[in-house]
Amino acid sequence: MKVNAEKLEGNKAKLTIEVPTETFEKSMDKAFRQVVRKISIPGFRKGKAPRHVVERMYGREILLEDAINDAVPEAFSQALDEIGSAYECIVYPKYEIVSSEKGQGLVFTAVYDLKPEIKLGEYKGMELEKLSEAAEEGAVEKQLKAMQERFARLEKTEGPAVLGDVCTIDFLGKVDDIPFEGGAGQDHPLELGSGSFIPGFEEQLVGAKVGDEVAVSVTFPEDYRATELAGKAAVFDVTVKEIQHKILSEMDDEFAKDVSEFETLEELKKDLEEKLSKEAKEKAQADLENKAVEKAVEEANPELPESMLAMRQDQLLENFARQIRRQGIELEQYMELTGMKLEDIRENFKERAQKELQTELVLEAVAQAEGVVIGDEDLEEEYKRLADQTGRPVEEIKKIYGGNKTMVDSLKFNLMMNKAIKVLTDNAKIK
Amino acid sequence: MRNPHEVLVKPIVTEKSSGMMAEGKYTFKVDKAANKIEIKHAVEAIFKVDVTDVKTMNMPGKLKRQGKTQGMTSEWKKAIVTLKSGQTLPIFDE
Repeated sequence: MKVNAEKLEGNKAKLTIEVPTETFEKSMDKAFRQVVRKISIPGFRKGKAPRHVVERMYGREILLEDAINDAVPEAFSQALDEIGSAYECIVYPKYEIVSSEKGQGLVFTAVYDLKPEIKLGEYKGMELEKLSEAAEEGAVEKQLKAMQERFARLEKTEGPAVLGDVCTIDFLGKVDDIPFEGGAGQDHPLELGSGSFIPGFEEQLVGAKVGDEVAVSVTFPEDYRATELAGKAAVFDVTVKEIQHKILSEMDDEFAKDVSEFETLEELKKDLEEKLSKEAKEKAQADLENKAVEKAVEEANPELPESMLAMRQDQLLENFARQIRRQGIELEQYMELTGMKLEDIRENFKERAQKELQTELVLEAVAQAEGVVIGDEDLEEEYKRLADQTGRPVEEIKKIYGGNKTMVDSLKFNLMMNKAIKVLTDNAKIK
Repeated sequence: MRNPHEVLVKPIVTEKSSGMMAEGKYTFKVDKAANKIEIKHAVEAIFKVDVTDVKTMNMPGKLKRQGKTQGMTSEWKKAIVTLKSGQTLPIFDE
């Protein structure tokens, strides 16, 4: 195989590849075996005609296309191996057949965008602001209060109702003495002060007793979703059928025992505190990493070739289609529902594709500049971490990954990204 | 001597006949009235090869029906010509 590589303007590469006749004949044979199955020629049973008879009858062309599709990608990847990493191809190349004359093998060119060169900015010593690692003040109390609410008991009372009580009511709403649609309800549970009804409604029920009939007059807000009612005054005839008073448990050790596995309130508080501060720390770290990456990308601001962007967009679109299919929606249905065309959806992914690619390229460049390598021990560690995370034995994880080169590669790539991020944050000036 | 192109009507290419080509045996539809000697001379004259053997057979016509009318296709003569070993007839393959 002869390969001629040259670089074109605009960071593109052009490979001219000659596939020798014998190799190409193999592809032709393969194509023939496929094609002959569908061909019937008088004198032969279907699929039994010899190649020269088929070629005589239909011409060589019916084999050529299939043979080229078979031969080209393989030859291309071989050619890439041959010429080395300077011509690394990360997008689909554009092929053009130069000649496919009989007995001369196949000559074709492949043109593709090269990986853009990344000019890293000052990626060391970036000034970054770190969020506070301490948990928010009063967060523990807030959590405890929420727990208290969640575990509150409801107890029937005769009233009078106070805010926080859950009332069961019948109601009939009228505007200008005429009942309106959607304005009536029976045995409707309503927590006073929850804000689920129109503003002013719930407050007027405070003080009501069971069996009371209350006339509640309210004005619909101007931005009410039923436009014909917006801004109008209405009167609701409300019958209170039942009042349930919410009883919050005392905040003591007993409460702690009920809501958690802890024995005392102190312990529960301590646990909450720990959890919250851990959360805050993780959040601060994640935020810092995001900022670091963002800034590094900004500094480098790599320009992406169209083809790279397009490919990533396609990948994202594919993922998206798979995702919604899992929820039982085909992409076609989705397009119908949202009224979007395929192009629109694809366009929506553009920004994300760009960001992802830029991030990856910059981090890769950082890793390269720092000489980050992912060795076997890093992989081992990652397997162990995955095993812990999924609760499966390490061997099983290894088995899943072991046989699959693409998966291992992507795992390595992720590890490299992580290390590059670490380089960024470790060297940053943190404020 | 008759015109050799009148003797040989057309080559026969089928699964069976292509199999025999490997042994240097080529199959033709020939004139119904031609005899083995005429066929031998015709093949030698047209293709410039040496014929060692000719087998002939009469192929019966087939009964064909179209609606209520029925008739026969013509009978014809098939000849299998064996060439001197090593010789080929290029018109059959390529």
